[in-house]
Amino acid sequence: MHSVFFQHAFNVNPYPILILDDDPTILMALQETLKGEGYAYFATSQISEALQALEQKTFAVVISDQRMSAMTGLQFLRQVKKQGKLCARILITGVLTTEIFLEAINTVEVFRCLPKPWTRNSLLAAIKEAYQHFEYNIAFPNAHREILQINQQLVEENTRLRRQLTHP
Amino acid sequence: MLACSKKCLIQLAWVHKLNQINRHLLHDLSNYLTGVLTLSELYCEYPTSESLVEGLDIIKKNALKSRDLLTLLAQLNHPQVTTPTYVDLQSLLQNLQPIIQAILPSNAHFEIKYTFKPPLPLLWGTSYIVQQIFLQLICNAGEAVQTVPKPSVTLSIDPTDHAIQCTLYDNGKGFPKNFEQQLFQPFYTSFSDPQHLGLGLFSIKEYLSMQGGHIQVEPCDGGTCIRFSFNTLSM
Repeated sequence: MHSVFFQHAFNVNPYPILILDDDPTILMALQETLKGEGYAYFATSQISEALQALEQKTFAVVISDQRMSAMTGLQFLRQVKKQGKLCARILITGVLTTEIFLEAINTVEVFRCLPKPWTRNSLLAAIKEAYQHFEYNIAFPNAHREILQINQQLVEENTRLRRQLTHP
Repeated sequence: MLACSKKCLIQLAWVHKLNQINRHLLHDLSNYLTGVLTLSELYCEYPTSESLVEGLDIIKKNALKSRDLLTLLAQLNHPQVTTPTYVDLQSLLQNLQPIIQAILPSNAHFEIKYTFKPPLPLLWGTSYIVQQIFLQLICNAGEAVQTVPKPSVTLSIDPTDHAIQCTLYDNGKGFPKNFEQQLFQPFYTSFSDPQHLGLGLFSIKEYLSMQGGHIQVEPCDGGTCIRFSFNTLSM
């Protein structure tokens, strides 16, 4: 299998998630998990196809395996970061060494390092938090400030109406 | 004193390589278990999922692969019997296939060519040492082809009168010219990565020469060709 793009009929999470892993079982397991949770995704085992997809679409989260044949996951995620792609990056790895961990955090600035084998809960939590991180900090960075402003306006309006009711 | 130092270096070379091989095997094992765990948890939550039948098949296959890999890990790391015996090279290589797959990059083409009709003459030697020689050389080949777009490793087995001639070819990065003899010096390595001790070829040459075999390395079609032989009478 090379690549699959999947989107739900009812778009709950508008931004897709990119999955890159050259192991077909992991790729299938991740796809089925994301499908069940209502995420759109682009899944591929080829680095070139992943880079091409990143050129064409905005992804909320990029999940990459560390050990691949053509380049490591960290090299791939570093390239994603260099290209200025605004997304949360997750590194999945079977053997998490100190060197990999330090490089992932300090240089590549990944959002999460997910060691294999994971439990369903830890996988879903990592994806959900990464997606929220993208939404709050990257896709809608002003949303929080705007909500506070609207809330303040509502408080003021509420006070004014209450005053009108007590002193008509 | 010198013999003792050599022995220590040879042991160090194998322990270092075994550590690398274990990492590869553990990576594959964690992949299999991840598949089993992720899919089984998914189907517990969504038992009517469309992919259930396909997924259950993958779970079964991955569970069996994990079992085989655990057996191999135990065999490889368990202290081996060092008594010489007759070694069937063909079945030894057959047993090593899952380890070889784990060592080489996933997109690498690996092939064993037998230039004769079986059965292959038996070697007289220690199967664990023969296994070490093959694994160390294939591990090196795997590292050499890491950055090649279409990696390929070929092992040819050719029995002669009193020996079994093996040729391992890889289309990897090769080695610097006129460095053929230096490759067998302890601590010489063509890799810049400090994780490479440069003891692999040195220890293999020592093993083989102790048993009457030989080894030579030459550049070949842009890659590396390693010719080595096992003596069928006295290995």
